[in-house]
Amino acid sequence: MVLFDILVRKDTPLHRVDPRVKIISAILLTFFAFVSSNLLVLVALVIILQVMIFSTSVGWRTYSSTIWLVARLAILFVLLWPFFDQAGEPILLDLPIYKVTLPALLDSLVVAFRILLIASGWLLLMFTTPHSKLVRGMVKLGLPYDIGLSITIALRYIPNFIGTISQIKDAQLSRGFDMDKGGPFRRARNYIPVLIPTVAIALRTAEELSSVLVCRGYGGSVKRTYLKEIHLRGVDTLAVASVIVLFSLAIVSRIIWGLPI
Amino acid sequence: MSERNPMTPKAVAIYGVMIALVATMTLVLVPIPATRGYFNLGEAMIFFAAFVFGRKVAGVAGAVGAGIIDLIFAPHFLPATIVIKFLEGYVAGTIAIGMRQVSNVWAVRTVACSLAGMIMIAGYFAYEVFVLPLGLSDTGGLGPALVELPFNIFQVLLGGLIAILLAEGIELSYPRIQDFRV
Repeated sequence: MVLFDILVRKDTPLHRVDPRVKIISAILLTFFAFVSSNLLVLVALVIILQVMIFSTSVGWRTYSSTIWLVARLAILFVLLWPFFDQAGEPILLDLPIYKVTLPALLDSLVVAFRILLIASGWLLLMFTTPHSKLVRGMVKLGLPYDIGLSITIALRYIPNFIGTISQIKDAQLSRGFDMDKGGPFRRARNYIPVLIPTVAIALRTAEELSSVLVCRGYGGSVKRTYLKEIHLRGVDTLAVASVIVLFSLAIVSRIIWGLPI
Repeated sequence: MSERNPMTPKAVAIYGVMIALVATMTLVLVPIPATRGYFNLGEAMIFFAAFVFGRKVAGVAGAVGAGIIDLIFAPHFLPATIVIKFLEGYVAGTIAIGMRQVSNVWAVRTVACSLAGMIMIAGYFAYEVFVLPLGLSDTGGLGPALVELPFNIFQVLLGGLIAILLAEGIELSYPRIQDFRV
């Protein structure tokens, strides 16, 4: 089974934070990660974020499998960096084409922790926010509601389509169709008999959906109301204000004043 | 945004289903024989959306569909994916629909895939070489970018091939798709 839903179904303080606060924080954190090149700051933030992630009581298997996909690229950066950047002194390791110098090593570690920081921020958001709240938060932040509705529909149908594909694959296999033969181009073509029925089913779904939307009065009234409203609590306001002030200050002091943050 | 007319119910349904299809196909991993690598069918679906529904659907479905998957499996690529996949779908759709009068559909679609594919390949390469090591050495990021390059090229080539065959097959087996253009 594909790991698609990584929400931790618990009720921790981070789960109760308003989704808007979490989305804004993740965006600001991403910005900050790109402007900062101070290894200590990045490492400290990555550690703080891991503590926050563990405070959501996420299962070890979910955590390790998602973070491993991220760490793979971070490790690749550190391992391959010395092939192309050998500037500076002192030299830590001197092989014919693989020369590790201290400044280059520090640079590669900055990139590695930048990757981990960006990923941890968004993973924390995904661990603690149900899809529906995520979309509501984005709509509240200014995403047009019809696009939000499309995204909700999409999130609802992704598991269905995953099931459809494997069902059709099984159906074709049971008719004696061998998918895993031939070179890459042959294998790509082998997917056509699976994809055509899948897409046809999806298009039929779209037709039904558009009738359903009409029947339920989509587009009927301009002022929309929602079954579940999200409200900013006092804590949320405080959190979003401090996050915005903190990161704006850090980003401004880095870009304009050039502080080594 | 308040000036903008809301989408029709049909458009909402098409956007929703195409986003879901791109996300689903991005999860379908096809092994490349003789290597330990995989390619996914996400590109194929973006190109398909571009051929059939045009640039807006392809761009949005690409950005959001691939973005949803990146949120879970590769959040460090999220900023790049949203921009690159939107441009990819938008460019492919502009070429495929703009040159509809040309009788040779295959040629038009091949051109659309190659140009949009180049945006994707160059985009991810630039992200790993220039954006991730922002403010540091420009050459250090070449290693991972070169490792991923062949996989991305493969993905565009095979994705384009699948999309062209798929669009042809769907237009034959599901003629009603002509009424779907939004």
